Amino acid sequence: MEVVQYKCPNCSASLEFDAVTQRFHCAYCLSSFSHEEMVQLFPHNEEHPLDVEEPQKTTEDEKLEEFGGSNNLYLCPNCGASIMTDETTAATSCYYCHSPVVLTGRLSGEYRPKYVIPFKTCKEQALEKFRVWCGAKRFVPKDFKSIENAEKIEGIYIPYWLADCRLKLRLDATAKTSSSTRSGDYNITHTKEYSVQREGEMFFMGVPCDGSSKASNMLMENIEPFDYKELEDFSMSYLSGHLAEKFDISKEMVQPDIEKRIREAGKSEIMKTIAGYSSVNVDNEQYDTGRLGWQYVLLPVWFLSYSYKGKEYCFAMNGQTGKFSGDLPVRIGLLRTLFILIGLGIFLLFGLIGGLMALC
Amino acid sequence: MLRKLIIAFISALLCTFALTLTVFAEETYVYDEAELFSKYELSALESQLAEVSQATGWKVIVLTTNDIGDDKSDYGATDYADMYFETRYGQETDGILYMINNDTKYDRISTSGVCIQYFTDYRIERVFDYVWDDMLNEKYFNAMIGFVTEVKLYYNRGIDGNQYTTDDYSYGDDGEIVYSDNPISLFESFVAVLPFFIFVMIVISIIMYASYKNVLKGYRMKHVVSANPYIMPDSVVLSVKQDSFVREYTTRTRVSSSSSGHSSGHSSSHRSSGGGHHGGGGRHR
Repeated sequence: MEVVQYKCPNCSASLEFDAVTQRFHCAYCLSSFSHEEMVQLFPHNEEHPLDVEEPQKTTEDEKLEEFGGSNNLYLCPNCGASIMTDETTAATSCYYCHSPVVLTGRLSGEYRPKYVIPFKTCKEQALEKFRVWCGAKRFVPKDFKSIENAEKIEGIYIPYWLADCRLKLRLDATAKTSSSTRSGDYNITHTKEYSVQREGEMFFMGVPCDGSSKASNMLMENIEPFDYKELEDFSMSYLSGHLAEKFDISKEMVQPDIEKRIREAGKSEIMKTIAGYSSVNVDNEQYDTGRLGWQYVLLPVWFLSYSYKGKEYCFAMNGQTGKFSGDLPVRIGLLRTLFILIGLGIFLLFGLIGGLMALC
Repeated sequence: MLRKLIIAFISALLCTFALTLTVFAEETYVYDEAELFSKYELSALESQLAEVSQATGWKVIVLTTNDIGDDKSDYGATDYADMYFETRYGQETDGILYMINNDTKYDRISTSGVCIQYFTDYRIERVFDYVWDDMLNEKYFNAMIGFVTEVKLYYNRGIDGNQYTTDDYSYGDDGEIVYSDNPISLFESFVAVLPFFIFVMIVISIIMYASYKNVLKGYRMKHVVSANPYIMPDSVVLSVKQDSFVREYTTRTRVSSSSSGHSSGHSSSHRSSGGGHHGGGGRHR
């Protein structure tokens, strides 16, 4: 497989995509290029036939494969150093010269995404969000806040499956209205019962599910939604300067989860039309999701994983909208002490109130 | 001689019978000063009260009045009822008096002796609840029959296991009401507020535990997944939207009510202007 770099035509330094200007920048000569200019400058980087004939393997290649495991060892075109990746990495940077490299073979054929949303937020913005978020939590250990965890934050293009679907559904429910009046020692409750039927359909567009086993589903779902109006046709050049993954979870595997989300959303939408009752009990529900339409895309995510006292925590921020989610360690000891003190205070306060009540 | 003895025996027997009749005739249970009852009702009510009085060993009395004296306050009505009982039966007699007060419309139940313990504030309220519809409809006889029923009920139930008494006020030498500074011991106070205190602490503990867990979770991501944002605007089409009336029905559930902040075992008591110890309660019509 091929490793490509986007070199500045003026000084041959590496070009990286800048989320703020939405252009490709050279950090050395400060040249700047638009996406269209990049496609013109590097047309060969986008062309990768689906059936590439594998080159004859030499003994040296086989040794490299044995070391790296399944074609996971590459040579940096900039400094010649060996770059070892795992099987799903599609874009990374050289450990030695930090030049961004795109492993083009990883995103060819069925793995080539149709669309990509380029990063709209930069690393500084992601760092700031993380720091503010950390700072707002009083029970985060101080030594955790002080360590340089945040610097390890990376921009990653996560592979996503987007499903389109026309959902047909039918709900049968029993709904009730009731009113109560008091008569002496009795509550008189007057109840009216209704049989409610709803049948209809709705169209879902782009229900996402990440196709990477490395990314936590919960974390990725929490930073949704992405704005699909900013989807661009996929181009390798967008990956320059960021990490990228290819999918290792197929659309057939994510389909049950997506269908479940669609059914739940459809039901909640229909339930909105059953209003004015004091209680609604669904007796029967039928769903037909039909045949799902699929799109394979790369979506931008700022991702940070960190370990603290042997436990792993992670933070993710939507690279387009800035919405974030994650975990943080807490000072359990401090929290416990505080709650005991508050409990004791309330106990004494109520003891005092109780005593006063008894004396009055 | 024998004849004289027989006559003397019969005379003695007749005297005893007459004396007994006189004693029974003096035993009055209904003091209908307001003349609210018919003769027939009066007789029937006397009979009922006599029966329950004999069964319980208490004096179960009904008083109706149109004039409670100069003091028209609730304290005045209370003291009128207390003193009515006290002057006729003494300070130590076990008894309960229901006063239908058509003067200020503040009806009063006055208890004395062991009845203070039997008729806690909670039970007094239940007695009022039981008779109140009839009282409001001026069906006084029916109401008093209800009163007798309730007295029997609580006599059979006995003294509430949690019963305790507080002395709220008494009358000073100058006739002024003197409120008790420290009517009950600290231990009694503690016992009185203990159920409430335990309840509040349990609630606080649950809230604090939930908050504690919530703070811990607060640093863990919450799963908020909804596919609703992906529904295309205006794509929701309802082909069937039908709400059909099926039936209607009415249910009745009894609710317990208590107008007192104390537990059900609490009996309020006070000293009458005559110095007697009385319990009871009142309700405005």
